[in-house]
Amino acid sequence: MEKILTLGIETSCDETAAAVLRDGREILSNVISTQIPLHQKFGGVVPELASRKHIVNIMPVVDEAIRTAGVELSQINQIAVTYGPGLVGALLVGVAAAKTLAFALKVPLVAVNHLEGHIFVNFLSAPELEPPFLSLVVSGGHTALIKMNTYNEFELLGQTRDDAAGEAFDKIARVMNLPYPGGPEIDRLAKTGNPDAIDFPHPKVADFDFSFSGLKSSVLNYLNSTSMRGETVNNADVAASFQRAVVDSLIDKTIDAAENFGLSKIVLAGGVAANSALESSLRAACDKRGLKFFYPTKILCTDNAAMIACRGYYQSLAEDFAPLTLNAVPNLNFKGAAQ
Amino acid sequence: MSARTIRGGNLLILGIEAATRVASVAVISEEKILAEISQEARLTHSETLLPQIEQVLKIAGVERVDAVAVSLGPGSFTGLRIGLATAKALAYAWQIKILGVPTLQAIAYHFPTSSATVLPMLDAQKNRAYVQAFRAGAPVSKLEVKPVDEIATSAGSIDGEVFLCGDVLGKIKVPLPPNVKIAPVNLRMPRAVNVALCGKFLLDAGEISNVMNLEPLYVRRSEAEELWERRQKLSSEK
Repeated sequence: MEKILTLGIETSCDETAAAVLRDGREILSNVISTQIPLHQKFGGVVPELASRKHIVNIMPVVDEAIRTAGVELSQINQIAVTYGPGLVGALLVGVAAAKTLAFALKVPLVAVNHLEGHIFVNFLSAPELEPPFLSLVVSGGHTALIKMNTYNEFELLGQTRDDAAGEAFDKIARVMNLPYPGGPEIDRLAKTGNPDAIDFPHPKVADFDFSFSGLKSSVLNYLNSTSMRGETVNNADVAASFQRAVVDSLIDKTIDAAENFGLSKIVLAGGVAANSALESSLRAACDKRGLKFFYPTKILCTDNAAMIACRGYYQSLAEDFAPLTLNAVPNLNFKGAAQ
Repeated sequence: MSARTIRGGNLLILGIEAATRVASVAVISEEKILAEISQEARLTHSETLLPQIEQVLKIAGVERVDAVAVSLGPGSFTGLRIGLATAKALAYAWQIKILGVPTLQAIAYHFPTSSATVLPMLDAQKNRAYVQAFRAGAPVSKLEVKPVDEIATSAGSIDGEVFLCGDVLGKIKVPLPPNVKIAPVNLRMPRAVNVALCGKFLLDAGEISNVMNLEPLYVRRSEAEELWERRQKLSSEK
């Protein structure tokens, strides 16, 4: 049987990305144009600037993905695009371009949830991975535990009740005057700090839900009161202790859920999956209990379009296609979550 | 150009207009307007624009076009990007030319006369408008951002008849000078057929845009940039 070529397009935040996938798992190209330097001086992503960059970058990025893949645009069988969650103006550039390409090439369009894409990226870095498994999704805007039964059937077990883990990282990095993006900076700083130096409260929430706002406030209070007393803050110790509290809370819930539902495979996903302490601690916790641990390669942790194409491919197997009236849904969540 | 895109040897141009609340698409063939669909409804362009294109091509009885002309702005930042992303993807997929048409010029094309001055005004937020003066379809002033009432008042000092167009006419609070008139409803807002016709001039003049780097005419910078520069200025003055 002829192999299916999927073109993926992703513009939900500050990366313009396009990728070509052969069938579900073979990456032919994965092009990412990052805007991080553009937003750095503002200390965060400026939505209007991100949208302005996407509209300039979109065609060169798609074109490079097609060329690098060594295929012709006319050979593309279907187009998968992120329609949420993300910045509305940014999403709309990708959605408009993808819809129009699908129309012009007379191929089906698949609307992909960015969060599901982060889980599916693991199929690209681990060819042997198959559902069922438990996935911990940790990104700038979301923290969730997902039980994946089949490629197209998920259950949301729990998620954050307030701030996402990534949000807490970013906020604390900003208060500590670390450059944007803050998450990797805290990770780097934490390597030289003592995680037992400061006893930040570990969040306690029922079921498989998370909460990080209390922890965030307590770190901010610590930074504030230390500087009020005229003492020097040991940034490395703060970063390490804060990171330890976040990581412990994520791991406890994940292991609980795996045991509760009898799942033997744990899949880490989302932008914060690039955090080295989270990766190594979750790996160690899994090893100790004989659970199999899966984790995407660094480049696949960041927003990319290969994961969108991969998710889109599996949706297409269930004939889950989108109409040309598709709109962006900036606050899209996992299915089953209260919006 | 491949033979199947050309109908009776005439060049087909698709016009796309999404700079304001109006979503409008049209197909022209040399001297004929084959089809146009315009709507000023509350639906978002993201949902309506592409189905409108599908429909207008069907009505025109063509599968494809030879060039796509798109309204570049100024106007709603998001609307402009939806229009441009759509135009770019069509140009890229069909390997056809893309033509970037200034929105105010496309509105002024409603009045091909040198006996009156046309002032298309489009919403630039905070009671201001993007404005430029046109006579016989050609610009006779710079494109500026000015308070709506100031535009209306100062139009009184222009010689001869002046027509005000655009989407901010309801915000004018001052009495209009005697030589200044509000354009009739059918000639007020941008329409895709004007964009396509202006695109034809660009095509004939060889002014083809580059699908790889074409940007909207924003005129205004983002609020974040303006704020950042004001802060930099303040701190350097300290």
